[in-house]
Amino acid sequence: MYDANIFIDRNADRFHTIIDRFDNLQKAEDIRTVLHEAATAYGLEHIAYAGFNIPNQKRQTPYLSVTYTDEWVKHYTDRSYIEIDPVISQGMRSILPIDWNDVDRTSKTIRQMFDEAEQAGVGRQGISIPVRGRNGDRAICCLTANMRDHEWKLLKRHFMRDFQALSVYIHYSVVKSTNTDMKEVPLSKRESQCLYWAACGKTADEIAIILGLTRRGVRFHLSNSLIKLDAVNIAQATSKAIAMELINPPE
Amino acid sequence: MITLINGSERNEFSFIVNEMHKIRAQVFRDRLMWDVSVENGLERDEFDDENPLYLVSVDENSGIVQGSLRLLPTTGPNMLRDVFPILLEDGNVVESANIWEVSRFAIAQHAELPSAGRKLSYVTGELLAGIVEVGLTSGLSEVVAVFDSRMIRILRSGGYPPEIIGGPKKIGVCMTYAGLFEISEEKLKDIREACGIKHSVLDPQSTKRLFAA
Repeated sequence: MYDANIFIDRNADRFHTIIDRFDNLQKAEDIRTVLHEAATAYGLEHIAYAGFNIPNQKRQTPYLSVTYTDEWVKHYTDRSYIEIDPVISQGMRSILPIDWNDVDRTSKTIRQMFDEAEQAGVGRQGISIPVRGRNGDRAICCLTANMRDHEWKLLKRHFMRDFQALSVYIHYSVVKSTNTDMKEVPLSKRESQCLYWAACGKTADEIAIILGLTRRGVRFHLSNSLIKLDAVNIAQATSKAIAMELINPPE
Repeated sequence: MITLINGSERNEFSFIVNEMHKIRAQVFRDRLMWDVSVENGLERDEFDDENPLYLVSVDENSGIVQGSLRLLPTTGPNMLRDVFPILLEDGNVVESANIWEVSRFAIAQHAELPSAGRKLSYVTGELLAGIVEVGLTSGLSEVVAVFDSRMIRILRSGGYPPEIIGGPKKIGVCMTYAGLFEISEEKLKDIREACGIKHSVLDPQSTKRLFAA
């Protein structure tokens, strides 16, 4: 395989140290710690990852892992900035990395967002790198810094290959971790059939008739699916199963 | 000059994009006789729906579209993986954050003649230089492409010889190869020298619109 590991020698050690850390991640929560380490290793202020259409995750909500302060994340979420953030919208439209200096800031709201971001310590420089995965999964990885323009240009020129590769590695780590977190989940055929009809509003008796099972059999399969989905009742189980795309009942 | 257009912007650039698909029909169906699908004189395939980045050579003075190519990351859907895996032996794959794929490299017939004292047309050189310029800013180490033996000659005389990694296999009537092309300042210099290009070929308006300058 022609792998991402073809690098300019001077960067190789730093890069491989970070990649090793990603490869050895135990759980999804550790991703943030490694993002911190990567930021420090490259003299960056922050790294922010937003994944879209990640397998086993809700389709509508992006998967976020960021080193920003919780206050900034809350502010960004409260203001629904993700809906107007040009870095996100442009990143979804293009494969080219976007330097935040080149973003059109004529709109007042967008200028305000960038100003607030800088005050919140996000960093005065930033670059967003779009990632495309195998199965329609996408991501945008933002790297920020606090240096002057000239320094920033040098940093990019020096490390852009690493930054591209890092973005893809972060994405792969997220996809991998969401898979293992859900290790228990894949429902059996009967379990997903029962859950499907429950989601369509059928009672246990009706499901038993539809699937040619006993009522006890239906209860058995449904309670197994509750355990696998970590749900307290059928309603929660069906909504979780729909969000994870394990079942796909009509609206 | 090279205009950069995202697939997602095809409606905003419908003139250039239509001309591009027309030239592709003339090149791939009419001249190379590939089995491509053409509708209303426009050649399009499923990878045009994957939001690629197009590099289109447009004459600054006349506005005439002269040639084009498209770029797709190898981490997502791409032709080598999804259409031509047969070119790479033993299930080898090219899937790297630092490698994008070049496909549908097409030069309009009127732009094909080599400039005086050169071995290849200016438009070919412009597109090759465009690949390297975009690659340098985007942090690529290589691009990968599928091409036929006729292209190898063109690429060599353009100062941009491929490193063959797969094939040759006979696909249709052509001997077909897969190859890697290095992205580096040195290669950009080679191409510029071979093709008589002195400055950046990228249209400043589209770089301003699209990416990290």
